[in-house]
Amino acid sequence: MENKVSLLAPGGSPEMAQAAFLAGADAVYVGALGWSRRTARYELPDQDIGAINQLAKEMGKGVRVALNTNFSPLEMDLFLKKVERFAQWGVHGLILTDPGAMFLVKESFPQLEVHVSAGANAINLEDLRFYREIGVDMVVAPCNLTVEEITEIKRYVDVGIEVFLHSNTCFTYLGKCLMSSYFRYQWHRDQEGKNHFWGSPNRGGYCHRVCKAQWSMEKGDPVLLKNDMFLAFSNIPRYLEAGVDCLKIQGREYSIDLISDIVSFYRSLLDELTQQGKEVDMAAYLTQLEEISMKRDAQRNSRTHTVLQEVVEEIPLPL
Amino acid sequence: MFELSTHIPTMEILKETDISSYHTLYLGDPTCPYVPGNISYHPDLLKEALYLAKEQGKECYLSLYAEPRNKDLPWIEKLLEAASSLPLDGIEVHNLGLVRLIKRMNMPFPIHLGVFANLYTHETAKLLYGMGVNRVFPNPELSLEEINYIRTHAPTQVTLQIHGKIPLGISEGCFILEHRQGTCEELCFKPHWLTSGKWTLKNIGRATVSGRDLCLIEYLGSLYWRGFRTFYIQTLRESKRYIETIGTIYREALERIGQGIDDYIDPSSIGLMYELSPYGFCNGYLFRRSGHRYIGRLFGGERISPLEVPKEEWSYGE
Repeated sequence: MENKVSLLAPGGSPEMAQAAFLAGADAVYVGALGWSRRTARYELPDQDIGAINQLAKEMGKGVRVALNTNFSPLEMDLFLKKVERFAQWGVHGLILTDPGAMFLVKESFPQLEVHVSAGANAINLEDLRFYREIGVDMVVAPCNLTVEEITEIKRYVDVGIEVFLHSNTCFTYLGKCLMSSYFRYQWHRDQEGKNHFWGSPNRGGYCHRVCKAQWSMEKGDPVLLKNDMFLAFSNIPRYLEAGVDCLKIQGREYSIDLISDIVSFYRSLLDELTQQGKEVDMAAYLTQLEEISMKRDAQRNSRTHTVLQEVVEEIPLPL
Repeated sequence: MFELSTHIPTMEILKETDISSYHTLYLGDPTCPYVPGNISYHPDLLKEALYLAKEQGKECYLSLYAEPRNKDLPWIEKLLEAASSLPLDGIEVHNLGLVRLIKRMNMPFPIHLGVFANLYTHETAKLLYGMGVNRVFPNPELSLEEINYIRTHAPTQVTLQIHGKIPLGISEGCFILEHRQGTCEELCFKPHWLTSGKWTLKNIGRATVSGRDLCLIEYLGSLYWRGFRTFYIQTLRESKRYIETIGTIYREALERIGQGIDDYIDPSSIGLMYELSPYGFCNGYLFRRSGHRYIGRLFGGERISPLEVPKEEWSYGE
């Protein structure tokens, strides 16, 4: 099976980016401080992004910078200055959510690849055509999309498609949830004029995961607001057949060891699949994956407990 | 002068509700095509509703499904073909792909961008203006300062929600059908409250809205005199009495404001609002606070220090 699919891994720190490259990632994505869909703890100052970009060049790898918050309209100039700096450094591409910002970037910096963030929630053929027509190169498919939908998109729209390998599906469509910020939201503007929106996954990357609280309907029996693990493992051969361009591992917030294990696992699987096609023993890989998933879920559940407690107990937030 | 709008999802609500307070109607329920009797799922109902609303002098916009997948595109295209010969004033769209589809179909209607489209910046409003969008409904998470910035830096008009539950999310499937036994006809129009400790949300099937009602009655004068003119009341899955009463309260208040009357709030309207909003009120994100809080002098609201809020936003309350 001939396929040029690339493996994209998280770069939550320079050390994680390096580990991901060494484990076989073709590229990493990093979040610019204050501008990505994660908290500051998992974002990077510009100098670290520059260092990772330099390392990537030396290793023949790529870097994508996530500027995918729904930032304030008052920050458009600040955003463009940031983009200009990354363009001068020769970063590979940007991950964006705001269509107006995508259009401006493509007009001013045509050499930069623009990737539509999953948070933009592009869910049908016409959405993909819309983004293609404003110049984007790649669209990150939300986890809700089926293999059939992705296959149809690849057949009819000339745009790159990136899919998650290992992620979570939200209670709502990704990028369409305000439940966290409805219950707890704190705003401040820093000295550079950058606004920070604590409690909003769309604007600041910090979600209190209130969907994971204990809810009941009509004050009766408990009900679960779905927020499930998404695992694309069994669909990978079909993604490759469909011509998916990039497979993405999510998790800037996980430990470096875990990310290294996940990248190694998928590198090995992809290499085998692209060499041997459907003859690969997927059952053997599944056993390995179950161990990795348990570690990953343990780290995620621990974090869910922390962020939910912050809002339930109104713990002061570290602004 | 000003414009007051709301959604009218079904023929039954259109026929049995006094909608005289509203200038503009968004016909159909954008959250789920399968809402029983959804005007924006059935071309015949759309035609009937449109003529009925036009007889009452209303401006009418077809409200399309907010989250269409590939399988939905064919029926939406057929609906649009049927709509193209109707005397609609425009189409409300929540999905950027459908903006493109309408443009591709060369439909003669202006487009209003709905709340689920996630508009956050003036640059997106400018981009969409070139595609036929002449009015946008910014994401509810934006502050007044940001909404006003979009209003003054893009050629599109801006709609502002002034009352009703805030749309907080939209999902793929129906939460009610997943957790209750019964048909859409039996379940869809009943209130379904979600509670967790002191928190409350309302679920309306595929969408989740705030438990509290956003209420801007005490800021209405400031908003009006600062140039806001297109106002929206969110009434999806509310009672006919809610649609009528809240519409009347705001219509009368806006008319008094337009006449230069400072005390534009009828004291009796406060009690009526309390009756219709069992879980109380909030201002959403307009003052850069958690969406469920109410900042202001009414409803036992919080008076926060002017130092905590940018000057421009605080002055809306003075």
